[in-house]
Amino acid sequence: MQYRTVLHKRPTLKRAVRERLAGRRTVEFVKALDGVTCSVKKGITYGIIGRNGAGKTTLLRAMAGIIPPTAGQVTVRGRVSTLLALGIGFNTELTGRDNILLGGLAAGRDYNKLMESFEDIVAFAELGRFIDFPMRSYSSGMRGRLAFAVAVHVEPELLLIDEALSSGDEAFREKCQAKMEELCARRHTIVLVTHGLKSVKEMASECLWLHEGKRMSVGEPGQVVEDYKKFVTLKPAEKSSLQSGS
Amino acid sequence: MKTYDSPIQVFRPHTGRIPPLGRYLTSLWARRKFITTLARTELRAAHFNTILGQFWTVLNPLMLAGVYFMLIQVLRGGRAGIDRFSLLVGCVFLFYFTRNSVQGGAKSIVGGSGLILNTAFPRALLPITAVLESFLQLVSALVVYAAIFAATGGRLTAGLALLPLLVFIQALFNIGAALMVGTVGVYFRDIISALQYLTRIWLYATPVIFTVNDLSPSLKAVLAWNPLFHLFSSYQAILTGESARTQDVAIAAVWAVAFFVVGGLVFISREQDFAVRI
Repeated sequence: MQYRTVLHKRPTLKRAVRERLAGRRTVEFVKALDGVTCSVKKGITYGIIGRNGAGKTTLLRAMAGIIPPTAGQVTVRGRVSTLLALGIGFNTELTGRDNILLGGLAAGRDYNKLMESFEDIVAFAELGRFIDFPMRSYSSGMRGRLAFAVAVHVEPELLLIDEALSSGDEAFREKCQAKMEELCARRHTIVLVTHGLKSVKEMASECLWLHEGKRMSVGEPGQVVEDYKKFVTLKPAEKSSLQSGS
Repeated sequence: MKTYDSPIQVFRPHTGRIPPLGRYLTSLWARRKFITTLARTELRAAHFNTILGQFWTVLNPLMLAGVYFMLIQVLRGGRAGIDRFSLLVGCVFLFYFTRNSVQGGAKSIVGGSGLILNTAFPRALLPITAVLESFLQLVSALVVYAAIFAATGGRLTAGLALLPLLVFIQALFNIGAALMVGTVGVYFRDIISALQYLTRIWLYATPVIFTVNDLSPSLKAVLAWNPLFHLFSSYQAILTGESARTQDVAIAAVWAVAFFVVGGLVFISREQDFAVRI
């Protein structure tokens, strides 16, 4: 998966012309994922760990069909619900109630089924009277709670979660974990990207470790987490030789 | 092949090819409730922090029409009648339908980045929602226009029965134009800023401030290449109690279908690239 990115934050016309005449590139291609292959079985929680910039969010977006791969393919069986770091992603001038409705409808949920589970979503989010306040007045934790409530209540067969639990309080994180266990018990699949290594060991039955877009290790979460912890303490030269050997 | 609602979805590299249109349109139709809900909520949020609120959707074009009427009065030495004001108001309201659709469409993809990066859905939903939002604004404006039309002595003639068809043709055109500029806006953000000037020039090249009869034959021949020229010629005819020319309506329909088809195909062929570009 390759991104195209501009090198200058605010490219001016003068700079663009000057660099074009000098034959210099104003864009750079970044390989966010390189040769990553993985397979997620139905009904499990699959953890993905790695440092910032490893390609975790990119992989999740590829699974969701938000960004197409630049090589290879992604096959997904089942209805997907996403809970990415951006939250529901709607107009923050609108209320939480409006955003629940729009988030569910955008994901293709049936309006009547969405209305049936509406009060359950509101109750799960535990926002109280804030549900009718504009989302711009919400804290990051409140947005995360609302987004999680919507994502799990639309009955996805595949739920993709990207660091969305990090901003919630301890009580809500426990509630989310219980909900995820309930989904797995009903043979729903969860892919969880997290920096919480303890969460991965507790919740996941398989784990993938990414580093700079490459697959470093995949397998039993305890072992993968230990390998990852050892890696981050290595010197740069030792890291490079391990990467090239992986 | 990828669709947004299949039980099995296969995502392959973006090639710029058009996906199966039937499945794409089915995915769009399945989300029609989203389009109507988003259009209504966006309109509600648009003037949230203002005192006059939703009245601005009508006040903006009404005040613009007032300014242009004053200009016409100055140019004509005060000889423009109140019926000219009524026609001007109607045409400005109708032009604003296209102006708002195009400007909303241009911003829809870039402005919808939060949603696009979070959820997989047919991206055409966003420019189409911008057009529906503009249509809802037009409906409010036409209610006000109906009162002005009646107050200035406008006559209900058989020609007015053509109004829904002309609005439909314009809506089709607007959807195509919104999809087209929405795509362009992803690759060239400058278009979003430039559009406010381009649509102003477009207004001056469309029979809104002037009538078709005011034009010399040579100028008319040039302006006839404006995709909205024949449509607004028809609007002016029916709003002044005459019948629209069949030729004008037919040409307007051809432009509308052409924009709809080309705009739609361009958008759908590029939409998989949007999440990477925004």
